[in-house]
Amino acid sequence: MKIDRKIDRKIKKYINNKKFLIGSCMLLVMVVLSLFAPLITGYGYDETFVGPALEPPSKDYWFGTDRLGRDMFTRVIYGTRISLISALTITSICFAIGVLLGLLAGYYGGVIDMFVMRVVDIFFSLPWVLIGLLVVVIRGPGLLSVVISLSLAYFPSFTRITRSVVLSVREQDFVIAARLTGESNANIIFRYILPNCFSALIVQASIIMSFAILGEAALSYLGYGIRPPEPSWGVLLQQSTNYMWDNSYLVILPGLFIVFTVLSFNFMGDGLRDLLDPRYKRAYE
Amino acid sequence: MSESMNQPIHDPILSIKNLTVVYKDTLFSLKKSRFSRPAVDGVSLDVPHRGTIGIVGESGCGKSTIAKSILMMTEPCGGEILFNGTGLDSWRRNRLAYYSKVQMIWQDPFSSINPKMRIQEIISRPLHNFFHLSSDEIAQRLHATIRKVGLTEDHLVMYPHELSGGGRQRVTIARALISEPILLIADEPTSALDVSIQAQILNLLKELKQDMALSMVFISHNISVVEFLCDSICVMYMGRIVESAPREVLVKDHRHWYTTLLFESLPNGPRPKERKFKVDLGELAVCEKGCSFAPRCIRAEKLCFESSPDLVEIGPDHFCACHFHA
Repeated sequence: MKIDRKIDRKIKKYINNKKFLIGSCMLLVMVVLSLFAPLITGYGYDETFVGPALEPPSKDYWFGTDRLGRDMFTRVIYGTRISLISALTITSICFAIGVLLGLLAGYYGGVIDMFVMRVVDIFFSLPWVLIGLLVVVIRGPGLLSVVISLSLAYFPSFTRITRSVVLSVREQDFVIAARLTGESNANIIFRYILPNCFSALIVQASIIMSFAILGEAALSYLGYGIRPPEPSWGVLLQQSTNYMWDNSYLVILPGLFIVFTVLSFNFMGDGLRDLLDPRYKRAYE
Repeated sequence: MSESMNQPIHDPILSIKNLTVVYKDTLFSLKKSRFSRPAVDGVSLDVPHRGTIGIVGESGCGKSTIAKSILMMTEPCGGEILFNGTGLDSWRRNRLAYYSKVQMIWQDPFSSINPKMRIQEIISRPLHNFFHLSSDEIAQRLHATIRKVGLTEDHLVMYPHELSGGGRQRVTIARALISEPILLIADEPTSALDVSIQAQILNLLKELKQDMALSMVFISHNISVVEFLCDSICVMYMGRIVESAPREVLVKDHRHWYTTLLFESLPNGPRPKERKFKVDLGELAVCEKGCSFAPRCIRAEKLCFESSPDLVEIGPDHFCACHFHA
């Protein structure tokens, strides 16, 4: 009974936050579209000449067709899959590597801190396009190259944030008390410090999600990422640039999808930042 | 476990000899301190088995540094600490055994427990770390301890934020006592609590001290709290012990002017007839050569600013560091 009410209150707190609510609803739409893509459209994403080429949006072809007569709506929602999957993979990899390094640097300090942070600084100083280019030169374009290069580009932000939070958590009495109760360093890091860093990290994860979506689209647009005929949003934009003056829907509609998804993550991030910040806690309860 | 418990208990259980601790500037610190005063300067004291020693003094007098040194959290510059007859240098090699016998209660019950752990985990972690016990034994001791500190089984599944300050302090006491230590360091365990809760916690500590045959070092800035709980009391000022005596003696016949000041600063303490102490303005005046209390003391004469008084025995077990203790 008592626990039920507690959960109720927690859910209510999240629903009352408008930004979080809007962001998560927008994201839910995208997830549903990508999961049920084959049920939503009758066409295949690489099925050519399902209708006349370069047909403007109509009842049969909601987003029109491209120069090979492929249904743009089908291609865009299949693109959602690639976008979300790569964003999720990139963010998880960044989270795992970045947080681990940040914990080590912040907790042990000294030489380890110095070494880790200088490595992180190196990756911070390289523009992500350059890292992408480098990875593509080494192992050719493809989804894996996108994931590798964007993970390398974005993990430093997790390390920085984790380290700074660890530095403040580490000095709290309960960490010193943990040492007196005989906890090992690993236990202190993972049972005492990490759980108290999560709120800052979740916000950062939602921001990196939107960066990853933009990054993937940009790398694919440049031809370093997903290759045609796979329907990444970047690929769609790139293939449509030649026709964008006469058939502007070809760039505007996939562009709107990118904006929509990135916005959903940004709204969620903003909302989470407010919800997880203990200083705002009282205002929502 | 039983093996170490059966070791003969040395009396005094803890003995501090001439302890000196200096906090040094870090290698690249921007502001160099002109004059570095030791946080603890040549302190000696003995904690008898099953006895309670109170340490009183104002903020910055070195009380907590003594606690930190006893718990091996700072490196002393000089002197030594013996626990159960063995120096801390040898205990350092076996920290787990040491911490299973020496535990601490913290000042702030809000920051001294992990907010992301359930109460049962907080309290039982020491058992997992110190001893190899079956989960049944752990549960059994957990339930026994939780009842001992006045919590119920319902509290076990809660998170710290669901408890009040007093409840949290009971949790930290349970965490300290579950490994059945023989020495307990209490660093201002009541100063973050409401007055009504303070009394409950103090009574609880007094009971537990009896039940569990604990020796205790009790640190506080409030001399009435120390008076309630301790057999003998040390008064510290600026890193030194200025007066130490058994409780009754110190209450009735304190000789150092700083002890007088502490008693007079109690809300219901004796009212001073005239202002006996100079009011500090700004930075605390420091006297480098003489008695460190001289700049604040009304009795201070030329001698006090020139030579520092030694801690001398002026009665049975009554020590005082003042040129004019008579």
